[in-house]
Amino acid sequence: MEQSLIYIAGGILMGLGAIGSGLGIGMLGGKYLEGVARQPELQPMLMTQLFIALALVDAVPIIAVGISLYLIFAV
Amino acid sequence: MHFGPFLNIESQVDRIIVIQIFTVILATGIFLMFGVVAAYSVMLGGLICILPGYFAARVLVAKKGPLENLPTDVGLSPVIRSELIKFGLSVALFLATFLLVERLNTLLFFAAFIGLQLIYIVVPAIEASALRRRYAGKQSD
Repeated sequence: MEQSLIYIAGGILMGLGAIGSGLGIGMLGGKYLEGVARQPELQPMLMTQLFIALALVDAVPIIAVGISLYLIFAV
Repeated sequence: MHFGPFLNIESQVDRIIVIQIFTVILATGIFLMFGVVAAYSVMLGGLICILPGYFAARVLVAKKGPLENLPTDVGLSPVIRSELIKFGLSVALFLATFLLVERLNTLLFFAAFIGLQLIYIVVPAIEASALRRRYAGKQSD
């Protein structure tokens, strides 16, 4: 019973993290494409900023995945 | 300043990676005073943050030169490819750590991982404020 609850907790952690980061990355990508369509000459600069912001948005689900993997495999 | 063909300090992304590497080395050295387990937990947490980010950046700029000089017709496909590699590598490294390392200080491990992610905010913020100060100085001259 306890082990199955841990699996459920891990699944919820990964799922909620994925929803949040999916929304964030979708918004980032959309705004990036809008910006490039408006001012194509700014694309290289926007790409760098996009990559840094993506790394930040990515951090949350990766932390969630890390904690859930810890729960599933190490606890 | 170039670190061979692998890192170019002129690029903002590579600069962040270099700062992360120095931070991990420093933190590992500090936590070595508290024991070997604490030190390698910090180091593993740091490496799991740095390695996927480094490879994602390399995939993003592969055969296209520095990130700042990307051609204007690349769209989002290199970003998606690099993000997939980053995520896959992170999951593989987490799995390997939890399955292979028996004694791990999880608190320090996750603290190092999360702390290094914060460098992605801190470095651009510091650079932006320095740029703003320089611009304000030029305006007052």
